[in-house]
Amino acid sequence: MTDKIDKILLNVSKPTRYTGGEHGSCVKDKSSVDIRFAFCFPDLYEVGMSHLGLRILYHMMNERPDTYCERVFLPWPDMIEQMKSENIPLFTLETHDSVKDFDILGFTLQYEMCYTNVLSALDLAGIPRRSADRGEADPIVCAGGPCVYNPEPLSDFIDFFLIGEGEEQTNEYLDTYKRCKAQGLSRKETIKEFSKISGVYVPSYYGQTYDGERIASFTAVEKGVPVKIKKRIITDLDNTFFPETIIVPYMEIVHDRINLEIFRGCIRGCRFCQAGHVYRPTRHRSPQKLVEIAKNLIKNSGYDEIGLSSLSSSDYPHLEELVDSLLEITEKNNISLSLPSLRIDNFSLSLMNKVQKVRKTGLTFAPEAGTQRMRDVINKGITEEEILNGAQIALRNGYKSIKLYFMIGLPYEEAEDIEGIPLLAQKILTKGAGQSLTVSVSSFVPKPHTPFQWARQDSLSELEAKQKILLSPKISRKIKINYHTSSLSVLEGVFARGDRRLCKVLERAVDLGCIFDGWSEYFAPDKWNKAFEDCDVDPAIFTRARSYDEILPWDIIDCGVTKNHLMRENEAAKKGIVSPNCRAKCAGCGAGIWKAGECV
Amino acid sequence: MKYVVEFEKSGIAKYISQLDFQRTISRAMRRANLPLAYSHGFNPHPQLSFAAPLAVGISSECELFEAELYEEADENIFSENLNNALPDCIRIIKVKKDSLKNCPVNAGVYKVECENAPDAKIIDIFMSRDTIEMDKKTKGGIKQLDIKTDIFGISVNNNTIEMTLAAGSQRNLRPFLVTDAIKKYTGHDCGYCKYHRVKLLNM
Ligand code: SF4
Repeated sequence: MTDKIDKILLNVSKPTRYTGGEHGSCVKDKSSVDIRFAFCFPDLYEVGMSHLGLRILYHMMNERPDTYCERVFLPWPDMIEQMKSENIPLFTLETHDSVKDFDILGFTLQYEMCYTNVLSALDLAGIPRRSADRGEADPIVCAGGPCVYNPEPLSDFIDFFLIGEGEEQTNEYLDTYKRCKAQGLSRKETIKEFSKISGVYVPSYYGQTYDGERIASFTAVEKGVPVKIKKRIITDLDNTFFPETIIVPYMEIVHDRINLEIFRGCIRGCRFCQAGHVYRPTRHRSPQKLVEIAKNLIKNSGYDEIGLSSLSSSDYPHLEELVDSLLEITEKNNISLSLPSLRIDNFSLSLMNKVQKVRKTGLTFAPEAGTQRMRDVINKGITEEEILNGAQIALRNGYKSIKLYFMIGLPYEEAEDIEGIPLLAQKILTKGAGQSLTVSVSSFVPKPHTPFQWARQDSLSELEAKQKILLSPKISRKIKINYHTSSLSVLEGVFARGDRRLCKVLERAVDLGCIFDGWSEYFAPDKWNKAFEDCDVDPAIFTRARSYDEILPWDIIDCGVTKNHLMRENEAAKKGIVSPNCRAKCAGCGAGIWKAGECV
Repeated sequence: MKYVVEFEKSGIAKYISQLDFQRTISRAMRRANLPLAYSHGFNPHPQLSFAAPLAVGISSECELFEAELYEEADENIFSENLNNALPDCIRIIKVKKDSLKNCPVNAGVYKVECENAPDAKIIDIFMSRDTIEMDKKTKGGIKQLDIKTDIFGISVNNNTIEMTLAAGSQRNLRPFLVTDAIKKYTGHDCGYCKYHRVKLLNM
């Protein structure tokens, strides 16, 4: 650590966000590697370090003797201020070297509300924001993660995007980079070589024209580039890289435990859910492999908590076998096991009862919608009876309070569906009188590559009116209804389904001081409004309903699921028809081309 | 079985807060296969206690903690295994089957390396005061505190001030407050300083 950094660390909150040097972090001789890779999660350390993908790719890259992958997070504003006043550029945690001196800077984009942080990180690093302005001495800037299923709002700033799962692709582009560097290729030539790797999208190779609010054309401006970019996936999770050790942070992070990823994808096909579509097909790790991973990580990390991670743990076919084998290890080692994302039924509760040390304080439930009709519209395959039974089972098993998650602003929603939310909560309460209920209501954001990708998103005032409807039915005072400001959801929706016209707005917002938008203490709707005004861009063109024949900004990305399937599902939604899950009956969504997991 | 562990904190370890530090030690003990005892009850916590915990920002070569194990361990193996499990910035010097009760501490010796060290005359002027009052943040607001009685000794050698200050659970004076006080009462600004504890004492 340089004295310069040392001097400022005592003036900031939580200095171990910036020190590195944790157990499990990688120490290498930087002069002996060919590729220096700065891996940036554009949010705070404690958020980024909780992300499994970053942890996997970090260790995977560092297994290569030719590469040194180092971590970068966005400093909190108190640190940014100190760095600016001392002229310290954005640095990595491993060597504290300036990010600007790296070969490649890779961002992982987990949520749209980190986009201003991406630009802030570039600013702080002293790297030109726009790809077109970068020179030979600047790092090549790439980005991956779930947001790149619509990369367009960042297309002026990122040299190339990585679509899909990174385990194989990462090694391919590191090999390519090494070859290009050895041959002395220019930045432009190197990016051209990257574009030959499957799943790589170079936005500057394509151009758009607009017709009013619509995109009139989206075409290649460079020769020999693909018409569509197909996502990459790992077909066999058991035989792909998984680290034997993990970094153990000094400070407490958001998910401060070992996370065991039991499967990727989801068989359910809820129509609002992007993860359930873009991560298809559903692929499992075997219980044997998971137990082996768990043993290694327990031994090498010293963590005393382990949690299962997936979109819906109840759908894991070997759940009981896995939990039994894990309990054998955890119980004798004083380790607690947590089982999130379980459906509440007798089976889950018997499993949860086996897991000792579980705190019976609260249980969460996500019916998502208040009426049966609405739950059928969104394809949430759960009936009122199942919900009420689940609640009763939970209460009988000693869970004192229940938290329920719902959404408002869903397509084809009526006032009655919104009133249905408190009314359903009341029914649950009546069944288990004397208990307390918390109802948490968020605003729906339509996402690309889902059956609702064409839907109109409610405006701020419509959402606020709907929040009032929530409070209209007379219900018990033991039910507490929480909802959040919707302006963030609207902005999230603009960027989720936005296009290149947003690049200048984003840049303007950063100039106006927008940063850490996902943090309520920093989110500044006024500055955003001004940014849209200054750039003469109407945000409503991105939240409006789209028609089936219109070019969508994310059409360039192929996640496997076809547009035809999404249209069929949207039509079924209009009629309130439920579609079976992948295990019950294949709907021929398109992801079957990989012949992996549930699609075999 | 209780053990007293002597250790040093260098480099980035000085930035780890006491709570995080305890967690770091208990995780390292798990990695080192040392059977750390846990308290009973619903929310068991590891049986670790620290003598005169350091404030964030100070490195040290003389720290002590006590760990209770539920199985006996060889002192050398304890030390070696724990060292292998810890990041380089935390080093175990010695492990002894003992209790912190037998190692009372009420003072610490600090070396403060200054960018702009005061000379002996400034220190003399400073220490010749009857009282050295400094603001101290307490729960009830800011309180004026006379820190002079907590300064047991102070001298300067080249660019380093050596100070012996009250340390521990009864009375505790952080060395930052002393450099701040020097500035307040003599006008001498020590600049950027590196604070390091070299000894724990019972006086
Ligand atoms: S191809 Fe069939 S089984 Fe596979 S994800 Fe699509 S709907 Fe499910």
